[in-house]
Amino acid sequence: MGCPCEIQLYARSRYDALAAFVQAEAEVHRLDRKYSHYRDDSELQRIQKKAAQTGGVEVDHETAALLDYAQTQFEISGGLFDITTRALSALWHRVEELPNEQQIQTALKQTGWHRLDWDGQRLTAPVGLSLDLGGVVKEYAADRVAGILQTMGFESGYVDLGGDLHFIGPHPDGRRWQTGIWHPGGGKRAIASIEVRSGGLASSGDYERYSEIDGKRYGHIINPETGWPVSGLAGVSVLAPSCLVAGSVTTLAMLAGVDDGLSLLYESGLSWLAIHSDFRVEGTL
Amino acid sequence: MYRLSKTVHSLLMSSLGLPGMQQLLAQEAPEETIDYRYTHYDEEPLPLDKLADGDPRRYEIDSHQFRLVKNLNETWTLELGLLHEAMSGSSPWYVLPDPSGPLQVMSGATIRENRNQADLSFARRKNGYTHKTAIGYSIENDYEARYASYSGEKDSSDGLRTWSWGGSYSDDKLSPTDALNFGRIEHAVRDSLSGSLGMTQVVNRNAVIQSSISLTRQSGFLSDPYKQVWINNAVLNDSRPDRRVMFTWTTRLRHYMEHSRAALIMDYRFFRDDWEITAHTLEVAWRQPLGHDWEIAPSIRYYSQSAPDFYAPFYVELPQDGYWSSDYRLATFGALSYRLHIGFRQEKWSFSAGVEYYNSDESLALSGTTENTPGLVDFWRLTLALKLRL
Repeated sequence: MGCPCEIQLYARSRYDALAAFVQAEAEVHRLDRKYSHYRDDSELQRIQKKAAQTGGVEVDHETAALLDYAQTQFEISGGLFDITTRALSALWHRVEELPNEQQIQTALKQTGWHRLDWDGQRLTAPVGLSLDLGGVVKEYAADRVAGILQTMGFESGYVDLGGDLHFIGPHPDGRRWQTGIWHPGGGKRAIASIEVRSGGLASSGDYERYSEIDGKRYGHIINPETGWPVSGLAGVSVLAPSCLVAGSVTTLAMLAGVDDGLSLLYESGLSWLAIHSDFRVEGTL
Repeated sequence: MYRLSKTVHSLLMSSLGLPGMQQLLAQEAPEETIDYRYTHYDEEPLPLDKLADGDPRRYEIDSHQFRLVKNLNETWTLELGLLHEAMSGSSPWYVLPDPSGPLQVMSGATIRENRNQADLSFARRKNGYTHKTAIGYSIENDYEARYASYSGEKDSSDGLRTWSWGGSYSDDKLSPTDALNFGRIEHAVRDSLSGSLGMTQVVNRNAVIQSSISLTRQSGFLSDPYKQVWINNAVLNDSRPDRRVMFTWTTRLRHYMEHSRAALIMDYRFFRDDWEITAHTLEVAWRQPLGHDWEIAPSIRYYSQSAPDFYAPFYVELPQDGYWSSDYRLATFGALSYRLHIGFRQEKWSFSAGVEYYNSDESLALSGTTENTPGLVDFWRLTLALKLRL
């Protein structure tokens, strides 16, 4: 997954713990191989190529469910949360100078879920438009691994896939897990420490992936309407029943700008933490 | 976590289509709650043109129900239920033939009775399985029941299917009031053993189908000690077979409407027993959230059953097999009930109210019948419920 992954578990024996790690690792690799856009042999690349051909491509159940989910994200965000912004992300990925307007316009033409034809089974996409499941697969993987561990009988522990977490259950004595939220100013220090019992925790912010040009930070979350990185909240963390939903809500809150982002969080009914650009912390977590 | 916004709700619903997601979310410990529910059940009086003798006022039942759901730890959940019911009114005895059509004889004096019930269950969630064991006890002055049950649930590895199974046993003792004065049986026993198997399948992100079958075997004194029959000018006690095997098949379809956030719920139930009663129930409900806090759910239910061979409103000759019953609940009839439910939900508590009107009639039976059953009942039911989240 291209990020540090960690699993903490209370197991009866070393052997049980090892068996769990093997299964967990296998699942993470499976999803990575299937949905990576860095691998030429991934299922996602195959789907992408076939989707651009006449008649499109019929996808498997898991991919269909992910695309359905992506469609929901697109619809409820009024088009802001779009998994087809790969051209835009590539344009802004660790750039050293600002892209020019023409580059942005070209990338915008290769963007837009509404340009896809998705009927729940078959996907047809225009040439050049590529899917980026990066915003859902890592979160989904954290949930999957937690689900597998739960099915194996583990009740205490958590899965951390590079900041996307799923807490299976508290310590055996009932204590909650303590986890830190990184300071957006960098320097690997925590801005807040929170306690979690169970559920999915996802964070998003310009402290993870960003480009700094002329002293200004440009985050990795791009508004698909303007083609520019959003300048809203500096960071958002959300605790939800699943990491997948937590991740979607953090991204939505980042995309929406400060005011709309905060009202989305306040209304969400979830526990959350928002970090303003002046590092003020607000929220219910 | 409470009252999820429409956004979060849509995301959660949409994610349920992913393999394992439903199972993962179902493993969360249930909400801890205390419930109180009041139900007022009121049967309409028997129309005077159908009454031969006795008091036309029928049953009125007030019931108070408490329920506590408490998680003992991450895997164990305890549930405690208490019920108190107060019943009053008169009940149908037997049916007299009359040139104008059969007439109902009701019990004369008003019956007043109380029932108390307690049940306790423990549920354990582990490795994708949920096991629940329950025991219960119910007592009224002429009836005592002890029962125990087990039920299990298991999610499939893809999380799209849930299997459920269960079994229960009930041991009942009857000691009818005024047995000697009315020539009723003084003491009797009956028991009941049942098993069930069910499956819930996620069809797509908006539809869930649930289907189950169950088989119940009753044995012992299955007649109603308070019911009688008219057989050629003689009045005899109700007499039914002492064994009964019942089969039911239930299917429920729940369809979630994304745009209105409403849910359409359709239930069908088929019933058949070896007394040769066949019954069908069809219910359609629409659950509509109104804003964040309110929900309204109208529903309509249709029921139809056909009578067993030994049933008749009255008898001209003594049946040779020794079985007879004029209990209106065994007649061929159909019924329609209309319900309206309103719910209001806040972070720490929720309130709901429901009203139901039930109307039964021979002419509503699917099979059609020419028989007149004067005892068929119409009733109103009002339910008020308050739930506190701990």
